[in-house]
Amino acid sequence: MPHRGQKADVLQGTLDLMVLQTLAVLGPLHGYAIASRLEQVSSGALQLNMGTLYPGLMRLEQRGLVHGKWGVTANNRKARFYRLTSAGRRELDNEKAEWDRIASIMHALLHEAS
Amino acid sequence: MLREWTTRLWGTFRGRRDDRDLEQELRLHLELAAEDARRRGHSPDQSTRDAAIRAGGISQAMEALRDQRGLPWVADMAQDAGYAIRTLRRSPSFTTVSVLTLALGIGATTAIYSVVDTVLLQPLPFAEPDRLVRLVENVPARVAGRPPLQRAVSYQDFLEWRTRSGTLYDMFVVGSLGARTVRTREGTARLWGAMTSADAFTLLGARALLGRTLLAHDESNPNVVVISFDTWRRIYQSDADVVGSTLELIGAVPAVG
Repeated sequence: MPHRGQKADVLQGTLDLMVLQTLAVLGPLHGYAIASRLEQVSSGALQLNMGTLYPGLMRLEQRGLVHGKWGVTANNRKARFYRLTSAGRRELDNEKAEWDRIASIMHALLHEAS
Repeated sequence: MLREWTTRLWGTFRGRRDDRDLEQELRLHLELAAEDARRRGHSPDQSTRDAAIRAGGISQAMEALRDQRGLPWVADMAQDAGYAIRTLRRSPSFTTVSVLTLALGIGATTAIYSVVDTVLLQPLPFAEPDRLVRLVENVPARVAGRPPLQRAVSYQDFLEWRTRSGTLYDMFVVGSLGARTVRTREGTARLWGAMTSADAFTLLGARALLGRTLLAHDESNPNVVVISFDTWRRIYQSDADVVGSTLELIGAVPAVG
């Protein structure tokens, strides 16, 4: 079903972008922190489940955009922290620019004065 | 893209995060989620349940992680193999028929190939087999349209060919005697035999294990016999005394000429 496949790709693409942006703004975070930050920023609209978030993080790591390492939280708990790599930073900038470009095109298209 | 796939290919085999590692990360996620829910004022049990639901199952997440970790087709292939085995187990008669059919096909193909391999593909067990050629005489069929016949070469023709040939190093002639009855200690045996010119063995590079092969002066004495290793083993029980003994052929032997 090509339609569903496309939607999944779009979702994955935006998830990547959101994660990269979060790490750029807040520095290294563990998975749960990323998820709750995104939930907070989206006012509850974005509720990532583990089956989406962690494979996504794994993929970013496989692509070399983030680097994961075990560390300890403020409460002395063992957690895996992800930080942005320089490649990740470059990718973030590119994706941001691309997103802005598409958004402005769509905006112009959907709100054009007749 | 390439980097991701290279890492995933690598991840299929080694140096990857193992299941325990991944599960540990997921469990922390659930704990933190439950804690947050408690902080928001829900009861502990409710919080844990809610958190678990919202975060999705660990097993589901693990499945998705495994898919991402290795190359998808490897994981899928393993999964499909397991499914196939389970399904086959459920219908034994179908499985039996399939297995027998496959076995028959594979067995037949292997048998045919081994024959082809031995007869066509393996080099002949002679010295410099690529330099060995066989000369035959083709006689046009008497009836038009029929393929030519191969006829035995007469000894005189062979001698002519040998003298006249400018391209071949040397020639020897072989004439099959077919199967002959031979008298042995126990009774009789059927052996395949042939007559050859004296330098046949030399040209083929075949040497005798015991005794000797044919020599040039044997052409004047046609009653010299060389037996094969297999015959020596089977019929003469590897008895060294067979060298120099007499081999008695029952029936007529065609004269050389």
